[in-house]
Amino acid sequence: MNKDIKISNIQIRALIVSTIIGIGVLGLPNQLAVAMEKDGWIAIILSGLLTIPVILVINQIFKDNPGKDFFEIGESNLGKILFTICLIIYLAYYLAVGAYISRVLGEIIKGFLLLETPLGLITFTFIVSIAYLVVSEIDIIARISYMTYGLTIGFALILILLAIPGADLTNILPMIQSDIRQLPEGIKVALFSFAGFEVLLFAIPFAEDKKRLTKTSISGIVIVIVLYLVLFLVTLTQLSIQQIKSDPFPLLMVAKLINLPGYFLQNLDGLVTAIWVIIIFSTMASVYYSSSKILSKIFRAKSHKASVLILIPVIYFLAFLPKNVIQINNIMSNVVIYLAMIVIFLIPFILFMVGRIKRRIRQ
Amino acid sequence: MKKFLLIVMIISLILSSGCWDMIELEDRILPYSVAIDLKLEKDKEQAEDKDFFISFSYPNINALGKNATQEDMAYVINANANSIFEARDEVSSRVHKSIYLKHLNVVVMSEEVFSNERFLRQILDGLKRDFIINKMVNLLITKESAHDIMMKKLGSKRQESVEGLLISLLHNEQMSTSFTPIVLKDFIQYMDHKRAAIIPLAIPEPEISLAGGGIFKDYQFLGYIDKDDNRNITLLNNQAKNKDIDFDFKGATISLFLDEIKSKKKLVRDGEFLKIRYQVEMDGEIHQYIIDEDRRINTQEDMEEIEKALAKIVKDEFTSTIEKLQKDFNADALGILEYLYKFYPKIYKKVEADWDSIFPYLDIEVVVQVNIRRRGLSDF
Repeated sequence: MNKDIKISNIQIRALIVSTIIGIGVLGLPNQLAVAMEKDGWIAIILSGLLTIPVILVINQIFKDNPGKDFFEIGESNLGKILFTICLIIYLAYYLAVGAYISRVLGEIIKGFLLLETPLGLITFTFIVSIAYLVVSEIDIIARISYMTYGLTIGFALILILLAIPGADLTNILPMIQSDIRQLPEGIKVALFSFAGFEVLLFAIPFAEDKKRLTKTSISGIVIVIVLYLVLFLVTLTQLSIQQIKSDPFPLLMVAKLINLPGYFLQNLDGLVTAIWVIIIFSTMASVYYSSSKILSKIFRAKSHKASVLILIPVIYFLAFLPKNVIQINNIMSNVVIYLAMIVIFLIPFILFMVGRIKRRIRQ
Repeated sequence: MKKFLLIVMIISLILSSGCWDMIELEDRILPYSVAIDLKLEKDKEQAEDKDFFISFSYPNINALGKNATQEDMAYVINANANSIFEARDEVSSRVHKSIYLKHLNVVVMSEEVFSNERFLRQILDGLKRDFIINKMVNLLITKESAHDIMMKKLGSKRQESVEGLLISLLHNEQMSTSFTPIVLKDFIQYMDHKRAAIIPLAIPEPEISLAGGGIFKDYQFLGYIDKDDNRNITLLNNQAKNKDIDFDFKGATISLFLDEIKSKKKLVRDGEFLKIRYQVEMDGEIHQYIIDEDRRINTQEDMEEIEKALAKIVKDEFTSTIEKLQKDFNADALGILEYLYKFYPKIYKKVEADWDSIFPYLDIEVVVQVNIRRRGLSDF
């Protein structure tokens, strides 16, 4: 473990926020509306709160094993073979997420911005430029995240401000009409949109101020909850629930609907997509960094630089596995969701429990 | 490793510089309105499998600015096609630049197209589904041929240089209440809420004007309403704020300007027979009466008398419009079902399925409260 790398607490918060807010944010209102109609905000709050115990567990793992990083802890707790299997699951998850992000990003850019550019070129340049970034260590990624963190919040604020003139606040009504049985589906959707905080596994060992880390990481989640809530409500004020249900990217539609008097601002979808690409950039950087780090650990390589290069064609190939949009939405995102359940919730919990039990036995 | 990456990055910079396939603004045709008709009679044989006759109207950029090289402000180009997109492809062999629909602002369609539910649903889906097209595109209906409106527009002397006549009329800076612009997104939203939508009617003769509108329910065309009904509906829906009114008062015409019109609907009785009450409040200002010593407007009683007379007239107008919507069209253009959905979800669940048979017999009461505030620069 390299001791020279240091990440400040503000950067950790930024890392959490900009890793979580990514591909899901554009489509989240749509998925929530399908699952829970206008009560999607309940799912956002509940699943946001559900992630907090996981963050506490992750923090506790590192408190129990001071001075060690994720890989050392895993190896000492689970043993080499079992932990390698875990790492392979992690790698599968990160590769699936990386491929999903690159493909959806390519599709959206092709749809809204670069109509005549081939999809392969868009995806490839995106992956390569991320690869250039993740050759460096996590502190650099944290710094990039810090830059996009402001942009993410600014993006949301600007969208909200511009959407106010066209908003119909009564559209939020009626509240709390949905069936309690719809809640699990809503939480499943919303929970996936909180995936990304597991980057803490790689970031915590390098944190400068370890005492206030728990607070920092929870405040990151709270920021995300608030942002998601506000964006969901803004979408509700602009569109009818049937429209949100039938539109795969309602937030882009909201941007398209902005129409300030006198042609001052119109058709902001291009601008919003462009900003969103930068937001995705930091998400993808964390994902790519994690996957290349894991790959290098599986093969016990000293540095992760070689695995960055190896992963370029792998992610590119995986991104083009689904034939069409329906396959991306159904198969690919389901694979990601189920892997996420294992990776984010199960494995950290096992690591924590095994560590605790081993310590008991030793005592 | 670093050197290799550096070389890759430098080479990729060449690709990302953006200039090699750049399209300048003047190299694109940006239509601002499109007209859709059924295929013309004379084209029946040539274009057998095509449904529509579609015309694009676009500004001639060369005619703008100080050193304009051409005179015609706008061009119209047309084609037989099954969709706007096919038409765009069809005309590409006749225009020298690519057509880009991002700034499409007005879609004019003839009554024949609008009254075919399948065609309407298809066209609206195309507009909604496309990545590029503006979702705030205005809809217009016309009784005869939409293409004629386009051609008439070319000859119109009041042609605005950049935006075109239709869109500048629709901008409605003149605060006209005889028509109410409606955009694609709102139209679809109204249909979703089982609410009737009114699409402004464009009249080509003697000059292009917008007045009244066609009324739609569940993507079906029901008929036309005139501009007075349109104004009343607009006022009841709080989409307009003022109107002028003239009526006979004590043997002379009094002319008033009504301002700050606010309407509120309220469910006042639930149970088996619902009752909706509209509470309409407005401020008035006297524009004109008569120079006559005997007919001065000087006392509080005078004012109240006018207010009373006015309230009755306005109330009657509203009631007759509501009756027309209930009995003639059975079209909930006032959004009463939407109101129930938002504020009384339990009642909504009960009535939603039979709304078509409930709405015509719904008890709707209008209460008008007029306050005349000013009488101008005369105390006669």
